[in-house]
Amino acid sequence: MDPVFAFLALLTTAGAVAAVSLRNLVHCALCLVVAFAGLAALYLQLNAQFIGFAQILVYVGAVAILIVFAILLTRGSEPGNQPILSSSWQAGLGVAVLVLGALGVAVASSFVRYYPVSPAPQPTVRELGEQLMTNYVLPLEVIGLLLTAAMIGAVIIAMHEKQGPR
Amino acid sequence: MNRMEWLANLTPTQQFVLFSVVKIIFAVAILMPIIAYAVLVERRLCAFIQDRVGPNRVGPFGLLQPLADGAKAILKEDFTPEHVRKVYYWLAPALCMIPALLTLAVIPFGSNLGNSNNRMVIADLNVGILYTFGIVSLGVYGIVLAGYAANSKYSFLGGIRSSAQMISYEIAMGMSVIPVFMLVGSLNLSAVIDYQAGRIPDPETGRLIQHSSGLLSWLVFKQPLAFLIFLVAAFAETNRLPFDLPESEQELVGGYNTEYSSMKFALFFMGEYANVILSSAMMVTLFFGGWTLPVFGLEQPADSLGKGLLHIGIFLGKMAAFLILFIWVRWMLPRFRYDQLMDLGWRRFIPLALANIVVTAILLWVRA
Amino acid sequence: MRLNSTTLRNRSDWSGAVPIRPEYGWKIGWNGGSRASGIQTVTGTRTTHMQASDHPYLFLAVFLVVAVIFPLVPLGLARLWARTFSPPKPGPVKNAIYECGVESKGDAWIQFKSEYYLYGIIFLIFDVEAIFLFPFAVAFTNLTIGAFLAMMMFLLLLVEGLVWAWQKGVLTWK
Repeated sequence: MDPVFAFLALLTTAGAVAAVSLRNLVHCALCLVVAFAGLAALYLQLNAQFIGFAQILVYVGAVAILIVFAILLTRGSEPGNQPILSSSWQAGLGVAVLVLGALGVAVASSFVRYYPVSPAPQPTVRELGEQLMTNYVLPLEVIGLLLTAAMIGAVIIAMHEKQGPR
Repeated sequence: MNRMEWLANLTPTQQFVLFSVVKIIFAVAILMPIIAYAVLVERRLCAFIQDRVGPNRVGPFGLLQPLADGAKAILKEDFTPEHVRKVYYWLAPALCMIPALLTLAVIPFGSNLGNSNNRMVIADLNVGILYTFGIVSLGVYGIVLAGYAANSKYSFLGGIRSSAQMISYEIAMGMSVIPVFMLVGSLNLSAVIDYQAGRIPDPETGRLIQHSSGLLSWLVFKQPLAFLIFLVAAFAETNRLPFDLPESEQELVGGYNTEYSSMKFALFFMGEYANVILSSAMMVTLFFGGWTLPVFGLEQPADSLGKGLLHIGIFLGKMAAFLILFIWVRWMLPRFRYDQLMDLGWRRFIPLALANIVVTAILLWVRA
Repeated sequence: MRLNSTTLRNRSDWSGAVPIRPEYGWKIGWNGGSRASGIQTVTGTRTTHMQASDHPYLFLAVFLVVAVIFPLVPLGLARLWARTFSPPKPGPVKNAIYECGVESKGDAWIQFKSEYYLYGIIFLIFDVEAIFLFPFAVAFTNLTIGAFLAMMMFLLLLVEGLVWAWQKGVLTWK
């Protein structure tokens, strides 16, 4: 295995695991940042420049910031005493193993594996743009609609809380 | 003599690696004194505007003042208050500095040194501008963590305020440059400079064709509104007056850095100046022709060592002009109120930037 | 994935190191030469010397390390000085939270105005939409009228969100 990939994968996984297992919410959010950044580095390693930096810009620079914001804006409280693992962790683990197994079988039996590896296309940003405006114009418009709807929904939810009892 | 032979015997790859490492060291080594002297210039200029003398005791004209400041920062008691969150308290100043430095990587600060292989940019990414915005958006972490780490009301409020301000103007900044890239047709920053020097790629072959160029082909004259929005957003992003609400002294003492002292405070201070310098460099690159000048053939890549150094000098000169603008504005304008600031960002600049995109698109379309 | 296959189908010149698309700069192989057997080298027309220099991320990584060390050195120096020459002399007043001489009351981590969060949400959505504008801007000169109108439509959706938020008074700081 490529050592660079191994390092990045380890970093990403470790960040993700820490994000769900730590007690202090701020620590969790920052570990999530590490996981996002590791993912961005993985994209870059695959030569996907645009998506790699878009990942940094959107996830590290916006989504994670919003999470940190949400944590810091609400009243801080000491982490509770309840255990990190929920009471039904065995069932959760069972489901996770099942999903992993099913995916593994599906991947292993896929005919794609017997195809010769085609050279990875390296689209430039210009080509990405052309494809987005021509072949993939419908998904683009749907994304635009979805984002607008998401914004309106999120704002309405947040505003309602504000107008509640003061 | 011997040394030159040793250089020539290296493979091109080795030469390239060596050159890049030298470039990184050189760039950081240049940035450091610029930061130090930006502080001195700020203090002298401020004194001039306020009809005072300013620091003039250390060395001739106070030229050694930055050294004294640095020594003071190191020698001051490195004091950590009891109530802070220690790890973040240490981390935050460094996090303020790192993004500012990283932005430097994609900025072409010169053409080359007489050999076209040795381009004066550390990483000439195809998506240079996306890299820049991605890294700039990380600057929020240092400030918000500083506010959280200090665990004091002033710091907390300063950190939250500042981050909300930065994300607001990030959008305006990102949208303001879209028309620029419509004209240029590439997200690469060297391509932006080439465009402003009249070297435009042929749509069929991609070969660069020299068009006639002049001062008017600088993007500031083609996209004045984009430049204006970018300039104001740069002031807001770097937390400089008239947008320095996070550290508005009357309300928040020092904002997110209230509980900091000695070297850690100095790092916040240096981080701010590094950000100002890098914003200036971005504006020079995007709107003012980068290292080019439309006279004496200086818009062409250098063919000799002297010309290469001259290009770097031109770049630094333009950057210094912006630096002085930043400083001058700070001592000329009063501070905005927070509601005015948010209003300006969201209800003035973002609609303006969007309108600029549409107008540019239609104009380009009609012309084509 | 689908994008990839389309790009592949549309290309007749996938074999051999042919300049594919005039774009500035160059394509990068992570391992430079070592993977060149699997992936053909695509050379931009702008560049003259790229085989040896296909390592921008390597230098970014080096630069990242330099950028991390850069602030840590003065911090470490100051710490070292403090350790050896000026041991800390804490006191109750010195350690107190600074609030201009008034004694601090209560926790610093309080509930803040939710307006900050509203701006955060709108920022996130606009950030994602701005990302889509960059490929559009770069591809702009080659676009057909249909693509142009599609993008104007996308912009209109973006504007609509902004206008809605404006109307609702979300963008007014209270």
